This record gives sequence, C-alpha cells and structure tokens, in this order.
Amino acid sequence: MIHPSDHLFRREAGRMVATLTRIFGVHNLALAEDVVQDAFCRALEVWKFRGVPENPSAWLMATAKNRALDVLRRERTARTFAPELGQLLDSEWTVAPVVEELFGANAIKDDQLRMMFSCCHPRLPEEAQVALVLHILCGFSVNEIANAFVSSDAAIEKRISRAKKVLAGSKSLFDVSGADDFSGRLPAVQRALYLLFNEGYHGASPSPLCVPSSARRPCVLQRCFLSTRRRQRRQRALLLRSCACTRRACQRASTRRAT
Amino acid sequence: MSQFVYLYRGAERGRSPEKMQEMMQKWMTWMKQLTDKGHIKDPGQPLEHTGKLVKGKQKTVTDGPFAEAKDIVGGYTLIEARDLDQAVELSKGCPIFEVEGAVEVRPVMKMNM
Repeated sequence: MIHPSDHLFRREAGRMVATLTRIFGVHNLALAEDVVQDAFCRALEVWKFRGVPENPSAWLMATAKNRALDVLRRERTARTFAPELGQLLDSEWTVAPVVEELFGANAIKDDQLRMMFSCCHPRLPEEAQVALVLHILCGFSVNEIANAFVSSDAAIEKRISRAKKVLAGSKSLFDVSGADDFSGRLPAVQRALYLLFNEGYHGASPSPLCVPSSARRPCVLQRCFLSTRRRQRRQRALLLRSCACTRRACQRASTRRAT
Repeated sequence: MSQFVYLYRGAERGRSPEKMQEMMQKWMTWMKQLTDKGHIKDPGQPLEHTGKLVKGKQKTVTDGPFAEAKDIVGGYTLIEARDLDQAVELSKGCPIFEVEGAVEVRPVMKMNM
C-alpha cells in the first residue's frame, strides 16, 4: 500500500514529464503528457489486480520509458524529437541506450531543473510561471491549482494553456549549463519557488493533506536546484528557510488533523 | 458457495495524478475487503484495450477496439458468494462506479454431473 500522505503520482508525474519532454523535445510537451497519463492508467489497471509493486516509482518510470521507446520508434518519420539529441534517437543502435541513460536518477534531476527554468520563461507573467510549475513539475490538476489560487477552473485552464503554448514554442528547453541567461532567469525561478512554498504554507487549498505536501514540494525542487554546480548563496538561504517552515507547516497540519 | 465473474467495463482517462492515486487506493481497499471476507477466488487480470476480433465462417480478422471505450472489458475477477444477490451486493462497493464504469456480474455455470 502507498501511504496516504505520500503523493506518489503527483511526484512521479513531474519527474516523468520533465524527462519525456527532454527526450521528445519541448514542442512535444502534449505528447509527453499523454505518455504520463498512459503510465498512470496502466499502473491503476495492473496494481488493482496484482497489488502495488515493491518500488512503485521505478515501476512507473520503467513503464514511461518503454512507452517512450515505442513512440520514438513508431513516430520517428512523422515527428521530429529533441533536436539536441538529434540522430541518437533515429538510429536503432543508439536509441535504447540513450533513453536508458536519460531515465537515470541524476539525468531526471537535471531535467526537472531544466523544466523549472523553462517554465519561468521571461515572456510569461509571474502567476503563469507558478501555475505552470505547479501543473507540469508538481502534478497538480487545473482544478487543484484553481482551488489553491482561489480562482475559477476556466481562468486557470486559460492561463495554463497559454503558458504551455509559449513553452512549446520556445524551440528547446532552457540550457542550464551553458546559457548566459542563467542569472537573468534566476530571480524568476527563485520567486516561483518562494510563491510555491508560500502557497504550501498558507495553503488556500481546502484539503488539509495538500498543505504539508505542497510545502514539501518546493523543498524537493530546491534540493534538485542545489544539486547543480552553480550553487548560489541566496538559493541556499531560501532552501534552509523553507525547510524549517515546511517542518512547522507539517506539524501544524498534523495537529490540526488530530484535533 | 457459488462462483461469479466480475467483468469491469469502462476505462478512465484524463484525470489528475492525485485523483488517479485516490482511485487506486480505493480499488486496493475494496479488493482487500473482499479478500478478507474470503470472497476472492482469483483476483483476476487486467486486459489490454487492444486486440483482434476473429469472426464468422470466413474467420475475418479485424482490429479492436470492439466497442465504445466505455464498454470495453478492462479486467475480471473470480468471486465466491452465496448467491447472485450477494455477488451483486458485493459488487456495489467497486470504485468503478465513481467514473461511470460498470460491473457485469455473471454466474459461473455449474456442472451437475
């Protein structure tokens, strides 16, 4: 059984979509989302009959990986995939090892970071950046985000689909390692992390379970942020502060649940 | 005790990760309840939503899907219950009804030799 406080599907949604988008290319974001949905449907169908596997996260990742290989092989001629991976995905000699490598734990972390910076696109207003991060990287649905922002489903739907269009139109994912733009985008990323955390802490969402979970989420994202070589002092301070606050939020939520 | 087969009809799509996980937990809980009460003869298997249909004297082979998505059998379970009424009653706990799905309850034919 998965512990009720473990938001496994949400967490894995973000990891899967980040990696799949890296493989398919950012213009195929919708395809990546379809593959994630497929993996969840499969998990639901298989697990209800055979029980939850020992390592559910690895199970989901393996399912997404196999599905990604299917898609790459089948749609090779009809679509172009990540241009920076180029011919590696075209050749039967390289496609499996390349995909295998991209589904490695460290590669996934890099992809989450890449996606984080890509979501904080300078052409997007702040609230769209945060909504996009919540949706793509944290696995929140439109309805769940609307609840968190005390907004209507229709408004959030519009905001997200516009933001996705900008993201999908940005040719490639943000290059975290080389771009001069890194420090230019950093404040937006930090702001998004802070707002995400704030949302987790003050939790407008009606479900009390969401409070500690979404407060923990930026912590995970920030940890992956810190794992890059380009550590920044401000980021470290923000991480430490949010970890401390997260613990408080968790305690508060658990006492609230107990009473 | 008699045996019955539950055929689960209807596929779910387009739901948020959180909702999918909730749904999964509900299925596990329901299955566990039935197991604990000794009603599960065989938890069964999920079925792919694709396949082939072989039909008629000509043995014409066509591709699936065979029916509307909502009618496709997505899996089965072998149940033990006192009678059809009890098997029907037990099926009502299935979470599939929350997503407009259906459970077909079919008695396994008894051989009285």
